[in-house]
Amino acid sequence: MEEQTRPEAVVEEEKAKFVIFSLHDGLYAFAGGDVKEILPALEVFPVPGAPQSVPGVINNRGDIEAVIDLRVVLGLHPGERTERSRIVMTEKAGVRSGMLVDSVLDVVDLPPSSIKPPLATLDDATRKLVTGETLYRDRSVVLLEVHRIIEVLRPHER
Amino acid sequence: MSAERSPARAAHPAELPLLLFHAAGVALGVEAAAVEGILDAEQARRSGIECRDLAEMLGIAVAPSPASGKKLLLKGREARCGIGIDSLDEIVTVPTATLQPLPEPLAHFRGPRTFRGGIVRENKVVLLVDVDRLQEPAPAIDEVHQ
Repeated sequence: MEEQTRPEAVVEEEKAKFVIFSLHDGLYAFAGGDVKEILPALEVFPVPGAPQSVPGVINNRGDIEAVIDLRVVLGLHPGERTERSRIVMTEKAGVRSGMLVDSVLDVVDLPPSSIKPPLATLDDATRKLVTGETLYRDRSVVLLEVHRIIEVLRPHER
Repeated sequence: MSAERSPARAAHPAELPLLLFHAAGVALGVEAAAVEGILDAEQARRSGIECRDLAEMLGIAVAPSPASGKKLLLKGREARCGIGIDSLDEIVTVPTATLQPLPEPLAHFRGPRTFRGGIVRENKVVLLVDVDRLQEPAPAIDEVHQ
């Protein structure tokens, strides 16, 4: 009796969504599950006494939400808002925040194998916010963790 | 059925009368019940009540505001204070339920905690001053510039 050869099992990696955006001259991404919506650059109402990293609040269809300036958080060169600027609304651990970015480029599906550990060249402050790195159209993309950003912004009790 | 309000309900009224104004270039509001008066510069000087600049009280630097010379005399639980304002806008009554707390992570900073929250009015955000917290010392510089 002729022995049948079993087809080799092909296990496809489960992919995860990421929202890729630009800041200054770099590319960054949030996990798609943490992104609730992408808003145009709405008017930011300043809150006196707030840190530079949280310049104010927006009116998101009647809800008052905080806006975080990611350029300040990441220690990047300050930039002007343009018509391409967006507010990426994130939600993690019950905390909603708007992340101000220069532009949103794409939403992509990535297999876990395409995500590498953060570069050793990142400074300590930035590395705390980063979960890994990947490539998008041959450019390096830094993957940021929303919850860690919120954590570093909380002032220490005194 | 009695139309009298219970003390508990009176403490949490369904509506909140507010005085809206601008100070340090920001749209603000305060409970109308906390407003003792609106003074011009001369009245404020004669009153002997210390009138301070909101920006100074919050430890922030802002561009000089239009000098209206008007001072808002506010009364907290323990003390009075006067603040310089740019302009008086209007008196409104809003449902208490429309008052929203300041979102994270702002709620953790002493400067923003001077505001008990905000309301959305005509698509703009108006921050509500907490008179008692306004009289607390200004936040530390390193906290403000984080």
